[in-house]
Amino acid sequence: MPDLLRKIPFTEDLLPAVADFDCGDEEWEKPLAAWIKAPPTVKNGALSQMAKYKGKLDVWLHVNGADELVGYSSLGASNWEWPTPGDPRVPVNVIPCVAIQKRFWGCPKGDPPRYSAQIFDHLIFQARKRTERYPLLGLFVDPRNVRQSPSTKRLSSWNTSGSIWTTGSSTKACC
Amino acid sequence: MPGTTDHNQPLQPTRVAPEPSGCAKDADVTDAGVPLPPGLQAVRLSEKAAQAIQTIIDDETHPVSEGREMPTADASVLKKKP
Repeated sequence: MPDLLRKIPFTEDLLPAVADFDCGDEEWEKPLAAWIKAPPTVKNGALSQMAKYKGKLDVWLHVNGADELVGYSSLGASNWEWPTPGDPRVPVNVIPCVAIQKRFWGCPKGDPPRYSAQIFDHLIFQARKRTERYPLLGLFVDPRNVRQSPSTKRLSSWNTSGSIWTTGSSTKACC
Repeated sequence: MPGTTDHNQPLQPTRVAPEPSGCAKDADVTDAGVPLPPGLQAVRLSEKAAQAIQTIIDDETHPVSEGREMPTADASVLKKKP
């Protein structure tokens, strides 16, 4: 039976639950842990950003069947010139930060869908509910991150060389 | 937060710039921000790539991913952890 994740909207009283969050030691991994662990008094942390962009940024924790914290995801809004630079800006969905704890990378191994696929399916579903936004889902990927999950790669088929401005379509999942 | 901006200028994540004078600060938020990944920069989609995406968006017959709704757990499952 697949180990299906569940979501929990992230709030300040869940800070102790993320205190040991570990999504790797690489330069582009450590900030993702710092982002979710930051108390609301710390600028650029998840909680301060949620307060600042009230209603425009959602953050969820994800737990598995054993009630273990597997990872987190987030969905925000931005305005991008679309389709090309110089065109009018349109509201789009963006994934500011998404991370899976290191010990759960590649899991569950023998019983798909993987956690990463479940989280991205969740984000696509949430993005589709934002009908006021254009059906685009932007994802920021560090160009040094060669160990992207298959789900990330699926979303990032239009990733230009070395870019972190990756775009897929939330309604078409065009990958 | 890298993505939630009202512009699409290159991101400036390495350090949080001081608030320009005259701008209101967030109440109770310190200037010591979360360190963001160094070297993060926005790269524009090429016109060709953007048009390719737009073509897919406009294509009613293109396979669609609906995503999947994830059930919600009670927050208490994490609060009871040591």
